[in-house]
Order: sequence, then structure tokens, then C-alpha cells
Amino acid sequence: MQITAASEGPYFSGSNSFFSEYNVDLTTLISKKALKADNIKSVKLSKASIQSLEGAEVDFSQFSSASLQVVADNAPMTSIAILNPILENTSGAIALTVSEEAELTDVFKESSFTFLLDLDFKEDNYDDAMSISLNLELLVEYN
Amino acid sequence: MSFAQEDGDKLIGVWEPSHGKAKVKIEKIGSKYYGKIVWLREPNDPETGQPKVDRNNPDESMRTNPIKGYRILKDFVYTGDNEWSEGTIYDPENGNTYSSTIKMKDDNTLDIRGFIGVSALGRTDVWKRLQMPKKK
Repeated sequence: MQITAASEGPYFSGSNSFFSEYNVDLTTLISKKALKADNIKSVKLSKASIQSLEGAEVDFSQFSSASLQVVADNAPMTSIAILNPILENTSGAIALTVSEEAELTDVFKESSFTFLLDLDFKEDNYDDAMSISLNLELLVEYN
Repeated sequence: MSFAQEDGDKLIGVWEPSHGKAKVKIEKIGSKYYGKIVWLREPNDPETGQPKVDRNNPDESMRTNPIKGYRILKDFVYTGDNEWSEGTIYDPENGNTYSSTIKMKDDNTLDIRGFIGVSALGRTDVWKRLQMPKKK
């Protein structure tokens, strides 16, 4: 799945948060079957990467690290992927290290939840806003 | 008892635990409150000379996460009467996560209780709101 995380500036040196509200639609997630929440046995993240949106290039060398979480009303915030450090002169899709233990099952049983991407800015940045593409590969077990 | 959910927003701000080794910014995400480390008295690991990372995290794959910027307070819900509960507090020095409640004693003082199991078996720390110097 590909989603867009957005944030409004200005950004000050240190951690700044980008948000992406996600409305759970299991039928588009798994095209083979019209799933209901009760059908889900487990959801895990297998791959995660970040990259610029087409036509809106972001210089990733301005960030020192990245951390991706999910947050929902009825489930605890969970860290699901990180990258530290982000290497200089990185371009294209930047792969994050995925948590080996994090479970996404509970959040996918909600009607909606939020992906929260924290990017650690090396210096202040006075842009009005910024958007970044999140590319996620999920492993879904279901009945 | 009824209360306005916005009353819980008085928790938002920058707070300093009693040990003085960190400052924690509490913010609201959705309907819950979270606190991340925004300042460290000793930002670098004395062994490596590099910025401290979460090397005690029980999830080994997450151990390169920087401590500065880390959310140590998670999922607090305002329950009225100057109390926030149902949250957790993470201690990066040992990698343990504790159930936690927050009680605001006055506008600038928090009692933050961390516990395992029942609240009676735990420890309370006093946090002070960061006072910004007045502009001349």
C-alpha cells in the first residue's frame, strides 16, 4: 500500500511529526476476499520505505533519522519501523528497518487509524508544508 | 462526573522530570496524550560519542532509534479531576515499560506514577513545567 504523510511547517531542529489518516478498507487491501475485521488473524509489516511524492521532491539528507508509528483510539501507539542514521546523498525510496515484534492486528480492526512518521530535522526548515510517500508491505493472515 | 475533554489539554507543554536529565514535550495526538524527549543533558553516549539510542529496547530491531525524539509517554486519556490514565511510561535506562497515571497537582507540577500490575505497587516522580524566561 502507498499512502501520503503530511505535515505543516515551520519545522524546528529535532523531531517533527507527519500524519496520515488511514480508513481501513479490507476489501481493497486484499482483493481476493471481502474480509471483515473478525476474519483477520494477524497483520504484520514486512517492508517499509519513504520517498518523495512525484513533483514534490524532498531532500532526505536534511533528516538524521526516521521513525514510523501507528496510533489508534482503541489500541496503543506502536513503533513499527525506524532508520537511524539516514545516510547523506540518499535518493529514491529509502528502506526503513521494520520491527520484528510489532503487531498491527489491533489497529486494522479499527475503522480508522493514523500512521505517524517522525523525521528528525538536522536544522530548522521554514517550509509551509511537506508531504512524503510511505510505501508499506503487509503480511495479513486471515480466515 | 462530567468534564470537558479540552480540559485535558492543560497537560500540553514541556516538562522536566525530577532527575533533570531530560525535558519531555507532551502533545495531543487524536484524543490521547503523548510525551517525547526533546532535550537531554547528556545527548551523547559516553561509550560511543554518538547520540544516544534506545539500546535497551526489548525489540532488538528497534535499538537504533534515537533517544532524543523518543516518545516515552504514550496513550494517556484525560479522565477528569486533573488526572490522565490508561497510559504507559518507558524507561530507556532499562528498557522497561510501566503502566502509568498522571495527576496535575497545580498548573506547573505533575505527579507521574509508574507501576506494574496494580497502582499501589509503583513509584511516583514529580515533574515541573518548563518555565520560559520572560522576554525583555
